Amino acid sequence: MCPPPGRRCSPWGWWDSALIVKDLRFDRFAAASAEVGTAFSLVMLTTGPIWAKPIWGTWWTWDARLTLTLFLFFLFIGYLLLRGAVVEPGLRARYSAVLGICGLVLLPFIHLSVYLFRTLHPQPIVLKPSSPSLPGSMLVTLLVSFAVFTLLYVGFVTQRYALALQREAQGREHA
Amino acid sequence: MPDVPHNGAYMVAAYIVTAVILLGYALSLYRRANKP
Repeated sequence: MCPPPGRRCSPWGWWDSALIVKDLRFDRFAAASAEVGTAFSLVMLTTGPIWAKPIWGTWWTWDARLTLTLFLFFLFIGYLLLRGAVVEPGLRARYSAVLGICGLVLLPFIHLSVYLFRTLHPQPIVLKPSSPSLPGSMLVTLLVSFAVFTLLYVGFVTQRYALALQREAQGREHA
Repeated sequence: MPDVPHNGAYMVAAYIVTAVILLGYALSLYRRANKP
């Protein structure tokens, strides 16, 4: 399936029209989320080992979930580097979207890694078909933390999105 | 006074690391937004 005359025919075919809705708002949102995701991943990859040392007796082990999470972090870094390397906004949005979809595919594997591989991580104790097998006080703490970090994510992404808009406006002024 | 958990120092370290990363990111956003 090729685009109308005047636009390039893409090897991505149908996916291209679904991938790029030609609306840079999605691209800005994805870029903002990737940057915040990188910061959050870094928190996870540093505080996780700090927790693991007294509990598991080791800072790090190459188990499936940890390795896949580290891979996700590198994917975030690659995404940001890619965005820095491509100057043309349309092309940057397209390449970034492809890499973003690759990252999204990784998420179910991270969640299901405890079923698929033998790991140090326990089976899910909250997100499972039966009711959570977590003590009430711990579940409340988890849910409050989840709410707070979600708010933090929304705040960071909003600020980062505004920054992208500001940069684009400055770019138009200097053009 | 309740006993300090054996991993208390690790907990404090984790809080500090989290604060440094998140405050650092917030500061970087602020500086980029106010860049002339």
